[in-house]
Amino acid sequence: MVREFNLLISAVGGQGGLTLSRVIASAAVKMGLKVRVGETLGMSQRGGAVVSFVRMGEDVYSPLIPVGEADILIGMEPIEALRAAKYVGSKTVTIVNTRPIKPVPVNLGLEEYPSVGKVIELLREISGVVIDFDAYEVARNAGSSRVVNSVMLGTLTALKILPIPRETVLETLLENVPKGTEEINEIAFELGESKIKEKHR
Amino acid sequence: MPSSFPILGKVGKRVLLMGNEAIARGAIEAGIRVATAYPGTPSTEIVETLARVAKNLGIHVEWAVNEKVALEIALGAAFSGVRALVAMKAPGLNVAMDALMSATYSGINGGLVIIVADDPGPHTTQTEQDNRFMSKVTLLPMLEPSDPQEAKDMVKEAFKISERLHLPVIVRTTTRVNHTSADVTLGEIEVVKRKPWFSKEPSRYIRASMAWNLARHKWLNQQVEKAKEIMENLPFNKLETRGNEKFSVIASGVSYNYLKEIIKKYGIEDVAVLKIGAINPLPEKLIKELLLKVDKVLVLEELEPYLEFHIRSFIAEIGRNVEVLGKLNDVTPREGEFSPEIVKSALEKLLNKKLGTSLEASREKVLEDIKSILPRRAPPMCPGCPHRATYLALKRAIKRLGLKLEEAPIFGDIGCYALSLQPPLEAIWTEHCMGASIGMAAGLYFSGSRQKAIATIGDSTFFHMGIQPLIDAVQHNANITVIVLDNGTIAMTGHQPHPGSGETATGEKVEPILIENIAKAIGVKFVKVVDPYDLKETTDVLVEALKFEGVSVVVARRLCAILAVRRKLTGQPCYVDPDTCTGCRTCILQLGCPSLVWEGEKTVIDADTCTGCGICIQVCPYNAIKVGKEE
Repeated sequence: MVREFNLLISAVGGQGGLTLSRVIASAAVKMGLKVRVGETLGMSQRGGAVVSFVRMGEDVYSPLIPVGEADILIGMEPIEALRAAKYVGSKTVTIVNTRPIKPVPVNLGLEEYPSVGKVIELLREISGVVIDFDAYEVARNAGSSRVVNSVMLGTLTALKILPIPRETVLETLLENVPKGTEEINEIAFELGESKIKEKHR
Repeated sequence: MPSSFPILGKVGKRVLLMGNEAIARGAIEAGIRVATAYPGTPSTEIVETLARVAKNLGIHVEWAVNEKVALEIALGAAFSGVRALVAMKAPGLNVAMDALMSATYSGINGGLVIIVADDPGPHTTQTEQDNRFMSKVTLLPMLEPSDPQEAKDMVKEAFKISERLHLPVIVRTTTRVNHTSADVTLGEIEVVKRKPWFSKEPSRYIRASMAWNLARHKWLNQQVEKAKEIMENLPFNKLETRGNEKFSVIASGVSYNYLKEIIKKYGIEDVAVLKIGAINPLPEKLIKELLLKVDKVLVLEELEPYLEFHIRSFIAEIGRNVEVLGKLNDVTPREGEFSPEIVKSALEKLLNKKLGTSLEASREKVLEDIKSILPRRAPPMCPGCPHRATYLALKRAIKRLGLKLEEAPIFGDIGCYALSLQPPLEAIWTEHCMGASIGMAAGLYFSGSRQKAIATIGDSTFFHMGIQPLIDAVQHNANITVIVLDNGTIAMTGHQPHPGSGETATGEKVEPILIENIAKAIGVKFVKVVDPYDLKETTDVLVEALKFEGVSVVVARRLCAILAVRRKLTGQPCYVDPDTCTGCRTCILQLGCPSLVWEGEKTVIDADTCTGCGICIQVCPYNAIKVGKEE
């Protein structure tokens, strides 16, 4: 029985973070798990910071993950991964896309974007395991820059720590993507998986 | 078809539903005939969900022009004996209050449920208004769910209560319930077959007779007495006790879930828990029953001490010495939303002991370091947003007239264009409530100030509450310029249609109502329509409008860029010719478009997000930006 499993997705609005949380949560419901998803939907399609909490298990009631208790952090953009730091702890496995999306104040020269190296270093300081790669590049290889979320879902699934089997995850993903994009999303998912297989080879 | 809509699933099925979808399902299970709303976060998805299945169910679902009209439509339907639902965000209730107050005296025949979505945080609302107190102003029954399953069940029950009492029932939610998704078990869809008919009964429905009003006030108070009995026995109030605890917690809304989880995690056994689902009237007997046994009670509720005020008065009535921990002694905050951590710390104060370990100092230090290097990411105006061009043209027009930007007030309004407050535009000076820009601009003119008053208002906001102040400004000949930013949709809340969009919530094509025609009919002498993507023309027309003595109206019309992308109406993305770009950064400094990325020495355009609007081409002083494929 799953008692408490906490997954956090931190993204920029428009990257598909909300679709990703919907896919994982729907797959969990299929498994008969109790599910809570907490989201800040405000102006999510407009390039703001978006956070989704996906929680599953018998002991889960709250839609928010307690500080430091994330099992997984999916950071779809480097500084957005870091923005979720307070939910990360020594048990957390962090998967982070290293491709930055610069906020407008950075382009204006009003604020500074930290080096990606520094971001990863800080994530390693607070998180149990950090898996970092350019998921944007992988998505482009799959055929579209819009499927970064499917790449990262593939990577997550290949880690085999999600209490949901691969087939259910993939099937639910394909049910939730726009019609006609199933193939690209499946390729992206598989390329994401291969990121882990490469490391274990 | 129904199988493709999880919301229409069979009884007993377990599906993932957002709180708002669960509320919609509750209304479907109750057999509603009419549902209305004006979109507003965090309530929008309720009627959006119902609109999608309206044809399958054969019900009327609409986006009304504002919350008052939405309520009046639902009320008219409920007079006829059918069931109706109306939903709104917290400030929407302020707009609808006039209609609601009279409805409390007339009462209803078919069930009428009003969903009011408050926003502790706040996440997307101008104030953290706590609408639980509105139940005391209206005297109406009010319920509050703590999760999506309960929200669904509660809405269904609310229709029954509404019909038993012949009163509208308010279901008050908060963002953390509206926007939480959870596994929800579907219930039976009731078949409610009624022949809608409105029977004449002047003493109920006419508020012109003071004698009738006095009589209906007495009737209303009698109904409130009946409501007390109903509320006392609702399954949404739950006392979890072994009967001998000295400590207790009374909680409502999402706070109850934070509490349950902490109690389970730390194996806390010596605390009685009373969960409150009936906000008005409160289950007084149940609360007093608990207060007679315990020595100490922690009250968990977000925002104002609504429960706490009542609990303190109940304690005075029973004459026992029960210590209360709440907001009046700063155990929990009155501002912002709760978190598991706030509830844990309040529980520690109740129990006088630490639960688990606190954060190590070294970790706190790392978190501080991280905070200090993180750039902000507030939502910007989208790539291709026509409003960006309109505000840039407006700033240029103001300067061309020899006025200083810091002396020409631009009154703002509610909608995406409020994002123009951020650098580099930093355009609007105010953003208060729907339609306020026009009235406030007129007020500035009447004050005698010699500043040029400019109102900027969105298309849907204009229909919602902008027409009346425009009439006022024309009648009193205010010297103001009104710019209507018309992107053809209610963009901020996710692109719902409005009267100018040419379609309804359920996809029927209708004749669009044109803003310029309304302005002309009101008697505005200067009315012009511009395309903001033509920066020069827009600036020229705005100069003319600002020079005009009296009310001038400029409609800046161009489809929302998100819709343009979805409808495949955008052109090829632009690119920067690196040989011509001097690195002056004018494009970024003037526009702040997210697709314009500064790469240290030159601007690069992100082809993934650029919509090819071409505004930056018009802004670049060196003609370094071009449209189409890079050569």
